[in-house]
Amino acid sequence: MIMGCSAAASPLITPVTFASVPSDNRLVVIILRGAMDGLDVVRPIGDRNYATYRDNIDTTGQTHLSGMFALHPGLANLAPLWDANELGFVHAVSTPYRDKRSHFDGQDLLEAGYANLHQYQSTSDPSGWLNRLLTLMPNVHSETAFAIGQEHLIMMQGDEKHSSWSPGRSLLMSQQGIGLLERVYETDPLFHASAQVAIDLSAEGMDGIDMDDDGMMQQMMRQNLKSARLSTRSKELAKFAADQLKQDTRIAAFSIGGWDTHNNQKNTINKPLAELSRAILTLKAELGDVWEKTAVVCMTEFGRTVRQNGSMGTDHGTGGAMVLAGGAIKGGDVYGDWPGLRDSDLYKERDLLPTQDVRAIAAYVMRGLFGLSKTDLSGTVFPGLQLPKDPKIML
Amino acid sequence: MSTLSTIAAVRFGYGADQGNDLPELAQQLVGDDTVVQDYPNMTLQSTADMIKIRIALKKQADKGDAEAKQGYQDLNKFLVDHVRNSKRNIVMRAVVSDAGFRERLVQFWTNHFTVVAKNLMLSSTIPAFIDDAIRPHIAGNFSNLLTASTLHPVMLNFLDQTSSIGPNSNFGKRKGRGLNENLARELLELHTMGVNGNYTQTDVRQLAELLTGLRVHDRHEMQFSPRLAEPGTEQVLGQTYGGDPAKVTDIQGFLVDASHHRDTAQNIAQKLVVHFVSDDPNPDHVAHVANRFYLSGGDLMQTYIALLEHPNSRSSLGQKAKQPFDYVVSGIRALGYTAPMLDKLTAAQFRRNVTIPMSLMGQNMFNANGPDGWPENADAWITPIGLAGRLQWAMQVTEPRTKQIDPRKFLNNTLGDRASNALKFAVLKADNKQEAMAMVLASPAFNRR
Repeated sequence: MIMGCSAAASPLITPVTFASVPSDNRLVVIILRGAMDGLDVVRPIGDRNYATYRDNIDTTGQTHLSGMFALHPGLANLAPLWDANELGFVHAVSTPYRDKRSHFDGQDLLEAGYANLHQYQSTSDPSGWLNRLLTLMPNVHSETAFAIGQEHLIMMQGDEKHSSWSPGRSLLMSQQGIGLLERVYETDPLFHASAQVAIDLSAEGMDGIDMDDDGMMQQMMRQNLKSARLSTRSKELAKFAADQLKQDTRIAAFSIGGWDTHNNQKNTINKPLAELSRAILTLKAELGDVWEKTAVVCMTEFGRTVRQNGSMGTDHGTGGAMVLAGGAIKGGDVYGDWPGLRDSDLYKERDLLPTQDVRAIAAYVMRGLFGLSKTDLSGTVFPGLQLPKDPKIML
Repeated sequence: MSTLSTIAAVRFGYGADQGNDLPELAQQLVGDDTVVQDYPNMTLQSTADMIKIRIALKKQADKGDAEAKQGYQDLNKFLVDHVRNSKRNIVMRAVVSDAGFRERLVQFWTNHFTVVAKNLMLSSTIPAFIDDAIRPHIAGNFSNLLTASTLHPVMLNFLDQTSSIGPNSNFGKRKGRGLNENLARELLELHTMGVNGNYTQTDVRQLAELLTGLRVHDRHEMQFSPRLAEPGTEQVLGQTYGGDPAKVTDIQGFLVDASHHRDTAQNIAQKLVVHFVSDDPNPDHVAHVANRFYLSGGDLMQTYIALLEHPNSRSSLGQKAKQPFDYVVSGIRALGYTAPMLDKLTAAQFRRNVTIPMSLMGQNMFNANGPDGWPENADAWITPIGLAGRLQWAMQVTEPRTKQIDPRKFLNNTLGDRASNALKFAVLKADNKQEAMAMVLASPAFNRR
């Protein structure tokens, strides 16, 4: 089910902005909800302190990226992308969020892209950074950007039009009924904004309804099957994203959850890793030639504690890692300034010290893809961001 | 301007026939909780027994025992049916109850103490959590509700408390085990003081130490094991707790103190006003509720009366969007579906018409995104996708009622003077009764409260 989301107001787009962003490139943003443990996914095996903190990790099947870093075995399927310079990582990154380590505040800030939570919470009509990116792009129409999946993505929220899609929904109403209903919705701006497109579904029948939409069968099966076989959700979302990106869409976003590995991380991290791996591989396979023009940015609200906790998991931390993929990135490198893992190197004696703002990396990806100026990036997309020197992550 | 009984029914209840005067709504909380007997869910002990058998069968099945494998699969199926049936019971309790405010509060507190069904064991025990930890305590003191929820085996499992061990306990040292901060953090961030509360990472750590020793015995009973607990005292929020030997009463003492904290009063008051009245809460209303909560020592009846009696509770309706559960329950009631009619539906019919549509509107019961529960803001629900789910359900659920109900009467009874002129016009002009009634259910006036 595809829906354009009509905007309440059209943004001011200057001709200069039009001219400055002529691009055929694609951006996919994947939010990794729950705080991915960067230290387990991109393992700093060359740091002599790492083994003392993580003495029981399973090294079988991990891919050596460099003398310093190794990739978790759960992402082994992505190794060919690394070899082809279509996969890269950034270590020791975070949003500006600090100390309370709340998932929910952390995710809000990650998606809003503001300098601090206060700025987000005190704005009466806060927008997300992808929506603000759209205000800088030429000829934006409802299918330029897609929020994919059932949840509301703050990242995409704002005045600029975009579309949403999620599997399985339908409505059957006559044309006359639809016309009348549209008038009913006109009086309520919130309903009006959503209805125009919700109503567009009338052509579809009831067939789309999946009787397992409560996820129970999947829960039952999960006991019996290897987790990798169950990563159908991210595959479905990624396939839809690729189908759109091959056409007029330039920006797509969705999320993958399950990273909150407080317990027995050796097992619990495998499912989200399988989902992530499947999503990236599906994008590559389905995009075909367009993959060359695509950058995939995967980001999480914060990292996890350097030390394992008492139950073979990790608790909420600060510095984490980012995953980059696609033909448009330089790839084949783990970027970032490594802060070290000695006690004195850690943030608040427990977390990986962030040495870079996750927004700066996203900004340079957008600069590489869409040619945005530094002023636009630090003024509009990420207000208040101090842009560091170019990390040279893009081709 | 809506009448007081309309405000009572719509803002604080599930609509149709739940009208009452405002502060008197709290009287609904006095007396027996009869709907639980009408729609009973399996107890934690019975569910735990099933889970234990399932584990035993799995062991046998893994050794190649074909009969055990079949038994294991049957039991899985049984548990899935149990979860689905429990969801049905929870919906039905809200549909049939004359005490709409009570049911709304059950939803509110169930969400405040969200347990997410991360796996089959959690999803099959959430119904018992609601019946043990939430329903019996919503009209007592908050400290009892907090204690019942925090110490409940399902919460201990969900927020990993069962695997948090005092690192300096004998057991911890011998096995190299230690703390897991999950429950401690959410207890402060979500269940009591709120994320803006005045606590630090050190408080989270110290509370995690204080909570060690809590475990679940035989999959259904909270037990306290001093040998798993961190030795020594803990300083949480400036108070000293614990000491050797560690006791569960030390934890209970903290929960009572946390219940009486100013920040907790503020957090609960804010959440109540946001949930019932407006996404953009009136500060004076919040302060009034917070003060009553604080001064009464967390007395929830007094707190609800403060919520109901404040003039802002009589402000105009429409400031909130109903969440899908509430939308569906109030829609079923508005259409006059009775318990016998609904009880006749097969399991598959009930899912197709009730619980799956809720999922399509964005609210799969027991499956909020995280322990912070469902979002409150109207714009999180009235999205193109969410609204499409509502429209579709409105068409689906009105169809069987077209013979019994006149759309114009339906409009008048359901919305009265809240119906816009455009809606009155649409209902008159619609070329069939089903569409006319669906427009009422799909209208902003019905979706808002």
